[in-house]
Amino acid sequence: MTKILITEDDPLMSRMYQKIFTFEGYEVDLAETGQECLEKVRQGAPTLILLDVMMPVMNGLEVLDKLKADPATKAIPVIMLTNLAGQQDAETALAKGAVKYIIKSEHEPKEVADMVKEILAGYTRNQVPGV
Amino acid sequence: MRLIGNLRLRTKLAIGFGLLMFIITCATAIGIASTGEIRKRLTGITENDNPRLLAVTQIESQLAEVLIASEHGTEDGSALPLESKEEMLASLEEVGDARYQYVLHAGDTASTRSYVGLIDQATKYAAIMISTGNTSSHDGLEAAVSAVDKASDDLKLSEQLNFSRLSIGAFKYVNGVQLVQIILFYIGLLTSALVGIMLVRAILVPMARLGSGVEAIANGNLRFRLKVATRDEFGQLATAFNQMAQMISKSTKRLEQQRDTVESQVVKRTKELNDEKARFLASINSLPLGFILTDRRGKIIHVNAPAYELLSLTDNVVGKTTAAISKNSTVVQSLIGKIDEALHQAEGMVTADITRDDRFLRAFMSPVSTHGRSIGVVILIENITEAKILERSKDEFFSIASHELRTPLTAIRGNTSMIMQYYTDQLKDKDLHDMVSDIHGSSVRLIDIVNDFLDASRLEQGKMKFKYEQFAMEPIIEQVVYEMAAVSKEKQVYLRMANDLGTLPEVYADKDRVKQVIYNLVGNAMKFVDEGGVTIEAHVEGDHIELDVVDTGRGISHEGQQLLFHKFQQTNDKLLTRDTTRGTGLGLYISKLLTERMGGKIGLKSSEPGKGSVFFFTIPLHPVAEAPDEA
Repeated sequence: MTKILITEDDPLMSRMYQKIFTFEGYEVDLAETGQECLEKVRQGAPTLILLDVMMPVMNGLEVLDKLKADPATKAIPVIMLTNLAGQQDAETALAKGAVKYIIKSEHEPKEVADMVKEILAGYTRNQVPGV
Repeated sequence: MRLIGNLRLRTKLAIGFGLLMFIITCATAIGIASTGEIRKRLTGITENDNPRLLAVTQIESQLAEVLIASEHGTEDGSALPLESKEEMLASLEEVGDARYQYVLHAGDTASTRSYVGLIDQATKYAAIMISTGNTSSHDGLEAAVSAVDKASDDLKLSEQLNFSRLSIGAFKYVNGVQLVQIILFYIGLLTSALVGIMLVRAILVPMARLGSGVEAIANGNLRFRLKVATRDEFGQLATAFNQMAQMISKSTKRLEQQRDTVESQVVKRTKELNDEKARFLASINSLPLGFILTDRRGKIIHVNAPAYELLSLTDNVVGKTTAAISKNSTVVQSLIGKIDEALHQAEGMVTADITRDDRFLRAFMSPVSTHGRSIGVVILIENITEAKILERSKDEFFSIASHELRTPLTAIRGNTSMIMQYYTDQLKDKDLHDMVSDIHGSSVRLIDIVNDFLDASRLEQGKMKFKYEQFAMEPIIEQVVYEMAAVSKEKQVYLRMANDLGTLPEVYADKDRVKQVIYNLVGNAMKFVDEGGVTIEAHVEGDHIELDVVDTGRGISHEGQQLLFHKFQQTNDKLLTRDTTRGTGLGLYISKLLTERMGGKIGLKSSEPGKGSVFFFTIPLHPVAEAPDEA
């Protein structure tokens, strides 16, 4: 089963995305902080990670750096989620290896789920790394 | 000129006369000298110079010779030797010559005739003596010769007496002439002196008076007047001088009056100036800003208290150069260059930001210009620390607003949309569905409002980054049409794009921002179209592409047109329908800021109430020189 790891410090967002991905039939795991995200990835690699940019202690970009620096985790597709409006952040994230940069307020949860589905479909065709 | 001419003539005459007298005097002197010479020569004249006396002496001596020669014959009683005869004849010949000379010079008088008779008597005796050698004739000869000698002596005496008498007469005459000459000499001398004195009196004295008059005037004695004693040129000159003095006196008086007026005005103006100065100084000193005034050499003329405080100056800097106060504070160092810049520009303002420890200062420098020349610089120093802090907190606010506002809004939007999508069974009640839908719509609108606010303020502050690139317009327009298709479908109006858009050249701008502007214009047009639809056209206009959004909507009233593109302005409430309005009134304002930042223009091309409007905007084909921060 496809597992999505949602990394969100804000419970409003966390619960919302948990619901839509559950509705859409994914296995969902939640992480509240960057450290928790990294721990959970180590325990069992998810199919895809949704990563919030703005988080206390360790922000999303730092988590992304660590994920991409570790050969064991660097192949996992990461989608950045944010409500910060700024192109620079998006460019930085994409340059660091994120597959997509989504501004939360601009998209309905269903649209986000559709984007994830699309990305995963592409990865499946190209032999996504094993679950 | 006549005055001078006559004076000149008179002077010439006087000089001529003087010269003449001088010549006469010289001539007289020469005469005196020559008379002396005559007298000297007269004194030297002797009897040798008297031919009669010479003749008498000659006769006397030659007759003595005859007598001596005749004595040879008498000693031996024989006839006279030849030698003696010849001597006698030669002497007699000499006597004859002398007798002729005497007669010639003495003239035919009684004494001459008696004297010549005596000579002839002696000559006759001599001739007898020569021919006979007779002793008796010798005695006769001797007697005749002594008679002649006696007569000769008488003649000599009378000649000498006569000569003395003549000489005395000549001396008397010469002396008389000399006396006359001496008298004439002194008269000439006297006349010359008189002429000189007259000249002095006639020219030099009036000249001296005139000179002293000029001196008096020059020394300020304006009441000095010359006495007009004569009617000649000097009289005229004196009159003219007096007129001149009067005029000087008058104009001096007038000048004094004017000076008094000016002085009183100066006093008045000085008071006014002092009042003005007091007002300005009070204004300057009560300014909350630091104020420094320099002259054109950068020397400080005035500093108010806030300036001391802001720049942490402790010493009095008035009178020092701005360079001098830089020692007091490193802050001012950065100011000097800017001050110089301000001084050399005719107008306008130079600003310089200064960071000093935890203080932010901003200096505004303007030249003090008068008659197109800078005479100094005014420096206003503002403490912008508060403003800087505010600006920073504003930035932080936007960041927080961006995140913290949008997160709950996103939750509302996301959850309501999921309710409507996944809980249709529970939402069968239409009112409930509508309410959830309204909550969803409201959250979408609020998100848009937040986005618009953020966009507008970032644009206003120049904080929005533009990513410039060369791209084709057609795909962008297609995307907008695609995304708006749902709306047009819902409203049952058309949304078309012109066929020729594929042939357009590429533009140079930020693709996303261009899309945002197109989206905004098309979205606006769609709002106001109830029948017909919206067409997007584009063409090349100079070095820009002009994109027109043509709608068949209600059009915009004249008043409404004035409000377009202004911040928070919506054309008119009644033109807006509640369900489609995005509602901030920032859409066109943001579009305008975006377009202008990218080097284009935006505006309403035409609008006719009831028929529709055409909005346009332009995007440059090539990089624009002044396109700001491409980073």
